[in-house]
Amino acid sequence: MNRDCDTSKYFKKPEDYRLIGGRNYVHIDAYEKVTGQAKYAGDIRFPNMLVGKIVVSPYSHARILSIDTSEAEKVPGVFGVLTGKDFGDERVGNGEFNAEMADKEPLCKTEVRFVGDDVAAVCAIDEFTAQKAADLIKVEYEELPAVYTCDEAMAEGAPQVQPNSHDHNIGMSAVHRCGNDGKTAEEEFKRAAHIEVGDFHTHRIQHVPMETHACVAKYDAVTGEWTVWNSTSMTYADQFWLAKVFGVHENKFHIIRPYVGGNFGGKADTQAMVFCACEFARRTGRPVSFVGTREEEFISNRGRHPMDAHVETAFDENGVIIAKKSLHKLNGGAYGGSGIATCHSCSLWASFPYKVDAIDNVSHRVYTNTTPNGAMRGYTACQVAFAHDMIMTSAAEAMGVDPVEFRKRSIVETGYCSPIGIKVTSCAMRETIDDALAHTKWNERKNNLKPGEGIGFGITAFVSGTGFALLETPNQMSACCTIRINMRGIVTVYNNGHDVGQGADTTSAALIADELGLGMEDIKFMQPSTYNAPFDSGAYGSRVTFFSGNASVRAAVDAKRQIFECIGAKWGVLPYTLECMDHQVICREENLSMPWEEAVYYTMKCNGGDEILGIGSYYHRTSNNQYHGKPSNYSPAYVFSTGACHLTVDMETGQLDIDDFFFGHDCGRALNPDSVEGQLCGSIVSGLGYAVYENCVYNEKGKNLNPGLRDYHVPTALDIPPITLKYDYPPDAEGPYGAKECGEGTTAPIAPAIANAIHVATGIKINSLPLDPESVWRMMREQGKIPVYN
Amino acid sequence: MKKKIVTFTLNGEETQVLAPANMNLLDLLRNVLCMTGTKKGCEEGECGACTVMINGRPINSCLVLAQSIEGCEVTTVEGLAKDGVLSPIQKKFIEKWAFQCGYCTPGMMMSAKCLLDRNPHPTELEIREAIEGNLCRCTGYVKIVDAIKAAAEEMDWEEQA
Repeated sequence: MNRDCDTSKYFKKPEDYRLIGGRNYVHIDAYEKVTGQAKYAGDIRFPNMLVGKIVVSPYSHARILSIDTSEAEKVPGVFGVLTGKDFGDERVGNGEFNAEMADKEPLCKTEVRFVGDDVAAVCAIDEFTAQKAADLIKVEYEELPAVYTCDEAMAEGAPQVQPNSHDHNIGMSAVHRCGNDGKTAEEEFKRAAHIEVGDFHTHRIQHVPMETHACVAKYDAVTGEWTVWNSTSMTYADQFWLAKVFGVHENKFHIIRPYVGGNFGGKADTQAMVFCACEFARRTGRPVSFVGTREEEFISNRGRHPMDAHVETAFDENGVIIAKKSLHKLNGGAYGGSGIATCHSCSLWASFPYKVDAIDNVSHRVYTNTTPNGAMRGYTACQVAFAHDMIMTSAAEAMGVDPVEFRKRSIVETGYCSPIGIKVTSCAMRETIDDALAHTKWNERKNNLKPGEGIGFGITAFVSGTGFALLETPNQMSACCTIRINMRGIVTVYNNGHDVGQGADTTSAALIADELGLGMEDIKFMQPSTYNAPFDSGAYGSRVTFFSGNASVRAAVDAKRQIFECIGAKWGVLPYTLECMDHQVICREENLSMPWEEAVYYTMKCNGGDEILGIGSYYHRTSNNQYHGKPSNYSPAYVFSTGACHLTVDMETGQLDIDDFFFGHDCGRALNPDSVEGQLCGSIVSGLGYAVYENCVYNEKGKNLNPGLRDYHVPTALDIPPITLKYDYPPDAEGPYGAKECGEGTTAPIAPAIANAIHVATGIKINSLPLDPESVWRMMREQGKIPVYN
Repeated sequence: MKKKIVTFTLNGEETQVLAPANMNLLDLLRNVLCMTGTKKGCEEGECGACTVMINGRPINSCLVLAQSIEGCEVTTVEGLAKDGVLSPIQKKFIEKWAFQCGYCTPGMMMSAKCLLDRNPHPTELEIREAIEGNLCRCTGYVKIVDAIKAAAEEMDWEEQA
């Protein structure tokens, strides 16, 4: 059952929901997680298992002159050493649709491009031995000139980061230059009553999942097949790239999804360790495990793109946006991968959350000799929302309008179609703003704030499910679910919606249980793999609840329809007048009922003994135009959030004391309030970390100076403000049971809310992140808000 | 590498292991005893994922040499449930939806246990201080604090009952 079944009468009606919408079920992973029995990739143990270590480059750009592994190979207990020559010429990327842009070798052959680039690998009897051998690998480098910022990389004559010639090190660009009703940004700017211009800079942070990257590989020499457990958000992409690199069919790689300890976008790229583990497993015949250290997580793995943005916004005499021009430069680091889709998104966010009838945005993703950046919670929405929102703040002041009222004049609403193709369906943007105003009492308090006291708002929108399928699939289908119902009425679910901790498996099980009128105990969710579960592109782009959830519902409805056709015939009623409620199949009109097990058994009898199979899939009916700068509707629905922050700034130290944070988020129907609240709180703390605490610091040679949790500040339990949440907004017509995303776009309003509050508190104009105490203090000094004693 | 026989109490049972001199308690638990409930997050005592209880105190097991726990009483997440019955802390973590990816959860619960054993009626600030050394990237801590509060109340009720 696919997308075209939207009008099917078999879908359960909201008044019949039992599990969904309340706090009526627990996490299906609960027992394993609270008893320590949940197995993450680094917990998997096999007899005779070997342990691997990666050797990385200490230079940001260098030619590899020689690699001497002889000493390493002699260490007792070492079972193998790999370098770049042990892999073919295939490079690794992210999506299949742009596989030709793949640029990362599993291990560098001739050139390293950032401090932390993968050079060699060792496998040994234990971690200590592997590290000892790794330290004995002698690599001779010839340092090459390097570039670290977008401007350095784009300058005339700058050294090339990637060999396939990129103009000015621009890896890729996304351009949106269009307007509704034939308008152009150029023309609209000419008639503007006010134009606000600004330049902004944001910094690099890292996902810091509590579980570092880890994988285990086993090889069957008889069938030539590998089994791989990987801490990943995209098992099918892993399978695709492994098959490519090893030059075999994907039927040789069985990727099993273990529990994953956090992702946030950082596990979207197939890491060097996975290729090395597979090659070692093949050579030694033994299982091989790699577990990344926290330091490796910081220096070698993806992070959030730093951004330099030039933004111009044109307003009419009422302060309504009429056009926008902007140039975004993303610091992509040394490789593409998941960063490529991020570039496209970066252009998209310039259109949010306002009606921008004429837009001219160019987004470049620039290669530099720094740690590659990729997908990270928001896909640049956090960066773009900050920059564009600061413009709104300045413009409101310049035009003498209250900042919230000013924004309200231009925000999107239901039915708006933007020039880049976005079609806004369900939208409670205005309501979230009003709720934030009511909570903060902004209008009553704004003229009575003490010096150093501020209230600020962040107003953003986001996609609820990117249609990007990652691999080439029929109909751009990206989510599927299969359920089996056996003769005891037990429902087995195969859905690889990639639970990376957000609760996708539980959501799937609950949707299916509710649709079939059962309890969670009747639903058996099978540990998915690339062989047992149908294709699902993975946990990214806020798609799992919307897409995989819809696929689950459809699979259940597909099975339900088969049962109803049988029982309906038996009772002489139309099939779609039946319903599944409370372990019964019922017909309300005729007051008939049959226990679930009996109904299933009867249906199987009608089917000659065949088990009941429910097949569901969901794809977003759109095109790939968006990736070519042409209008297309990016997502089947959009979400809208308002964050509001009350804080005081210590005028002597720049320290912030955030004592109240309100968050209103339109996610349609909350499938489970506990889960939604958890995601919203997590988003607030994540956004707080981005705005204030976290920063990857580099020296002048591109080396990360704080690759550890002592000097990289992740917010702790003592850092969080009191939080008030509101998420009870109307359901979306297309979301599963009316739900939309909740957990990615929700990070975007935090930085603007905090920045705007600081602006109100101190009067400083904020053009950059982070807003740590030193940065705030310096801004206050430079802008004359505090005296300078020389 | 010099190995030594180390005898200690693990989750209430006397345990003897052969521990290398350069092994930390975290690796002893995970690799020698194959008890992977205690997690590895940073190996420098900053994230708290490896928190265990040693002689009643919450300790980062990544910073303890395996040979130094001779004679100690060690409790890990595997020791929270008794005879298959989940402890109040575990029950409340489930009820309050206090975990998402679950990776910080064992360490969080061990810090919570150490707190509640020593201070059965903690204030919210005391709860936050007790878990300050346990980093979480998923939940934003709010529901974790709620769960620990609820566990304290339940344990109080059980005591009085």
